[in-house]
Amino acid sequence: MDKAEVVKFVRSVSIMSIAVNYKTPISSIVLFAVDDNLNFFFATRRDTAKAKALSLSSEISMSIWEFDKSLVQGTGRALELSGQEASDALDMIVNATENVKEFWPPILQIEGDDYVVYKIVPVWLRILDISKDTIHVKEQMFQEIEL
Amino acid sequence: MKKKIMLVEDDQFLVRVYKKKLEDIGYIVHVCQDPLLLMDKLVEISPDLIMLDLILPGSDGFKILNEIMNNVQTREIPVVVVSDLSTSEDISTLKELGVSDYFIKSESSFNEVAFSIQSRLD
Repeated sequence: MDKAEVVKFVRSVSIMSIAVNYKTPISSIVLFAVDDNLNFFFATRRDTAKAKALSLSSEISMSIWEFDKSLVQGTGRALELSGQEASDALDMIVNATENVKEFWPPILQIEGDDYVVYKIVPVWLRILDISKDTIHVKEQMFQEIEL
Repeated sequence: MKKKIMLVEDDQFLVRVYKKKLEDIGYIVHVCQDPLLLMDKLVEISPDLIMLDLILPGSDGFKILNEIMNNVQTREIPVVVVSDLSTSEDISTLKELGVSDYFIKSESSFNEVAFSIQSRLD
């Protein structure tokens, strides 16, 4: 699968799980947008545990999957955006709701208005085809994605 | 002809999501984030429905609602309230003021709100 196909796949999912470290590991799900260079964008409230964690360390891990298609895993750095960049990223994230018509992001149900918008720049990404009934264990099941 | 909705909401993310989703299902959405400008905008645009958050900066949502309900040019416009206020007193007051429907943000999805809007406009 080439980079464009990976972008197409992750864009069709639009929800990912993330993990950050805030004294202990914490995970969460977020609605996200992705650009053609596989930079990922998400927003949260500034008082959430993940935002507090990212203020201490920008390292973040993520997984994006669809049970009968693919699993994408990666690690990167989450950079806080501001100004027009943050506004543009929010628009991209809003457009991503198109792919998840039945999903109402939990962030929209949490009181408050102090958003923080992040751009995840991956350090590495890999993809695993899980469309087959059986995944044969071999030396390299995952395919590294060239960034 | 497309129906017009006046979205009164100050949450920057929620405004964008509601606007996009309501436009996707066929409505024209006007946004008002400044409560002081609302009455003028309502008279100017004459929307078919008002979607109102009661917690707005520097303003009392109930006072806004009172103004809408007591103005001869706006009192017939259905008002759907989507807000974080959730006490039984709040809800009683809203019913007394004659709102068409009421949703608590933390307990409601877009589809529930959209269904209520569509049932009034379509």
